[in-house]
Amino acid sequence: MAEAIDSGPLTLTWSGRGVDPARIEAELVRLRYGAAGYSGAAEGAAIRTSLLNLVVYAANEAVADEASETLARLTGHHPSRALIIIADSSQTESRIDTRLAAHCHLSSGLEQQVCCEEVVLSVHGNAAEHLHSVIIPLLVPDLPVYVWWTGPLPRGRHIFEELIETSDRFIIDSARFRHPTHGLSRVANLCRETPDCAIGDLNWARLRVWRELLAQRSAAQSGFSKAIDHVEIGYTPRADDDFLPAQAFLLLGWMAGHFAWTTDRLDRTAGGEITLSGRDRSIAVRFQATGHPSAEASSLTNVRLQAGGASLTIRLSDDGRHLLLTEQTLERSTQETISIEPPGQGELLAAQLDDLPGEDTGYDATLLAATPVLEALDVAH
Amino acid sequence: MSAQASTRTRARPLPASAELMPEPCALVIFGASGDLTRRMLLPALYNLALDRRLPPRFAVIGFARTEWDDEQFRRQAREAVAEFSRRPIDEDVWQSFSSNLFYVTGEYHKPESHERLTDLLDRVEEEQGTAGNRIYYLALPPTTFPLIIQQIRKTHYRERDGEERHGWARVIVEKPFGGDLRSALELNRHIHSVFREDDVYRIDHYLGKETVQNILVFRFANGMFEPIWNRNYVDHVQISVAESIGVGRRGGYYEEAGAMRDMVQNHLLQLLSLVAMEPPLAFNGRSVRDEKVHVLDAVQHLQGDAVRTSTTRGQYGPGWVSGEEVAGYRQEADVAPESRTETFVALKLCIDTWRWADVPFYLRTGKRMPKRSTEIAIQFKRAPHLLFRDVVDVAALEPNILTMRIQPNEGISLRFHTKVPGSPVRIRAANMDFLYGASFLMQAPSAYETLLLDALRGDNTLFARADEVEAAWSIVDDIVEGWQETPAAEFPNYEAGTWGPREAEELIERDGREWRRL
Repeated sequence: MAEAIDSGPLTLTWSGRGVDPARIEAELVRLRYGAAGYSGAAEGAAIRTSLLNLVVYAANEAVADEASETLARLTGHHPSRALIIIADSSQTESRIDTRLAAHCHLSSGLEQQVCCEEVVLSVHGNAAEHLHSVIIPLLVPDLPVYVWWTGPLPRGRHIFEELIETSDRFIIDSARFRHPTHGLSRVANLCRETPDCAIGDLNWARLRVWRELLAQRSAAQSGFSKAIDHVEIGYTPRADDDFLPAQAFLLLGWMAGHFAWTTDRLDRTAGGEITLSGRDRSIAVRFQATGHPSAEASSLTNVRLQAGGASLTIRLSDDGRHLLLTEQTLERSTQETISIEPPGQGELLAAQLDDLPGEDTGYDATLLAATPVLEALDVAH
Repeated sequence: MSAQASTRTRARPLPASAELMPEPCALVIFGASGDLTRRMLLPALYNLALDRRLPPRFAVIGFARTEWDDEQFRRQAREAVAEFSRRPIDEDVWQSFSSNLFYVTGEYHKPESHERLTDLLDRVEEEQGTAGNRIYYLALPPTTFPLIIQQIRKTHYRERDGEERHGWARVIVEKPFGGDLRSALELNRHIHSVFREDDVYRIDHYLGKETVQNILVFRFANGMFEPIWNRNYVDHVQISVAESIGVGRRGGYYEEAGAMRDMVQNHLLQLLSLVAMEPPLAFNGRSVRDEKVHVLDAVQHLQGDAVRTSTTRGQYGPGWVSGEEVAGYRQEADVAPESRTETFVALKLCIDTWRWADVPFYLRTGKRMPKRSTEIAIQFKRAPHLLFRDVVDVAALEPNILTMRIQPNEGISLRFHTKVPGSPVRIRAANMDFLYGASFLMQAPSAYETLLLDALRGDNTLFARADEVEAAWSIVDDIVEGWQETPAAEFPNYEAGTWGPREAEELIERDGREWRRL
């Protein structure tokens, strides 16, 4: 086994090839010894404050490095033990290679520190098919386990399901799904089959400002919500396919729940519209692919709700940094510009980590409401 | 130089523990060529020498069937220390230490072997000046104990030149202390035929671990914990001893013992008694052990249907541990292919005292679990008035938990709720971990160093007393008897690399609780 030790002022690292998980734990302790030495806390307490375990599944080294950079920005606010897993079952030799880092933040003027531990595990051979046996020994006891699945959903189910089983909260990014309708349906089904399944979706977090504005502004106009009869959702299409993006489904699913529409009885018109059922009316929904100078592919560009002669429109500005609100009634028309800072991956992940494992974020209900729409439109595609 | 500075530079008196140097003595190790001596005893003795904790006139005399002489024993000892000592060999210290190592080849049952040993002891005592003080360490299977005790009585206590021998004699006994209450009583009877109870040191190496000793310090040296250490504030206690290893080469022994006798009777009940005991009158062997016995005496014995509802057994099948495929128990060496021996036990015990009425103690231990971990978790009751019910899901608020980790990474962890930074009130549980080693930046002595030094000093606080052992067997015997009347589940009933059988989950879930994830 080859190993190397490299020390920096705030980040202490260790690496080894063919490492037993028990050795990894011992080396993490040794790094904390080192960190305590740096802080000068000779007889003070080298306290580790931990909120959670974060397991990151990365398809390859590059994704692992990207995840590592994201995590480094979170550690100050989300003290945790992070395990970044790269599983490679194609090799014959079963082996675990490891890189460890302890990121310690010293409080100025104090000998106290908050240390976050990062463990990058390259799991080769048959061991990659039994990741739980590698992951579980390395979890900090009794802390919730958040699993971040960084890529598209895999074709095979084994590793994915094993990680879902290990997790208290499973974080995906539906923007990365190759086939959004299939992906979201699969997540919804898996969640139904797994007891206490709690799913988080970075793409859901991206919609937060849209959801908040729609909820606030529709409630501000008396009787508007109950009278909505037309919905238009605009999005930027991907260059290589014409799939409807996950954001569009999620937003519609959320609206169905929020405005009490029924999605289990829906019709699809020849023009591509679908019709949902409200209490005493039907709601026509239209998805519209539009060009946009700055929006990323598969993201929302505009939403329009119409209720008789009144309407509420939210549109992404050309620079992608503002949302333009237009509220139209029979009496008047008002416009408003709202500044938004498109959240980076770190902020989206941080928002997911802020949610308690069992906390109801509305995502499950949204997925449930969106499922009939997904199925209907999946057939069409 | 100012008066203040002068005061500062004055030599500080040594702490009492440093002044208490053991009296001169000879340590006789029966089983000196065995694994325990090689892995634990010799490295521990060497580290004590390194710390200047051994008495100035001290000798180690190894006794075993392996045909070695003094020099061979010293060579073996050096290899053992080089491999297993927590610190590297210091040549000067080694030379001094090894010059006091001696060896006798002999059969345990043969009087002539013991005669030779006694001759050597006499010679060493004269040459080294060990004053006739002797400690006998029985690093052997318990079946040999009566035989050796008998020989000690016959030969080692002989008169010399018509004079009664002088000096004290102590005996250190390794677990298991019998296989049930009857055999424990028999073993104690043998031992007491030669040694007074105060001179008997029954080693349970868990008691030598820093964190186990720290349980007492934590409870009784801090004013803030003892007032809440009772039924008013504690919801329940979980004591877990998980091992990731299988039975290895101990299949033959384990087939007879099983997890109940191998772990519960000693380690787990010792931990339970330390957590649940009343404050002792003093930190000495008598007071501490009196209180531990009181706890064991107060444990409700499980009999009849209670054995079925409050205990569960398991045996591991094949599976994956730490990324490696491992065999099931029945595929291990020296294990019967249809073995009914349990490798996992979970049980719920209650203690009939004012302090612990209605507070269940959940104990579990198992082999081939996902990781090695020993801990005691005190789970407190929820806050009585849920002030934040309008802003958070109060059902998601977890209780406060105080965890004492025994191994690995000895330390203490406290779970409490804290507000997440930001404007809306969001609450989540945080763990504050105090890592024993990292906090003091020094390596703690091994359990065997602690216990050997205590035995040399004559301090038996951290050793099990006869009545303690018997009380523990009495609890275990009732359960084993109940098991004999109710057949175990279909074995194997848990996969290696998991936390035990489903029945263990059900045992605690019936009470609306769940096991901690270790």
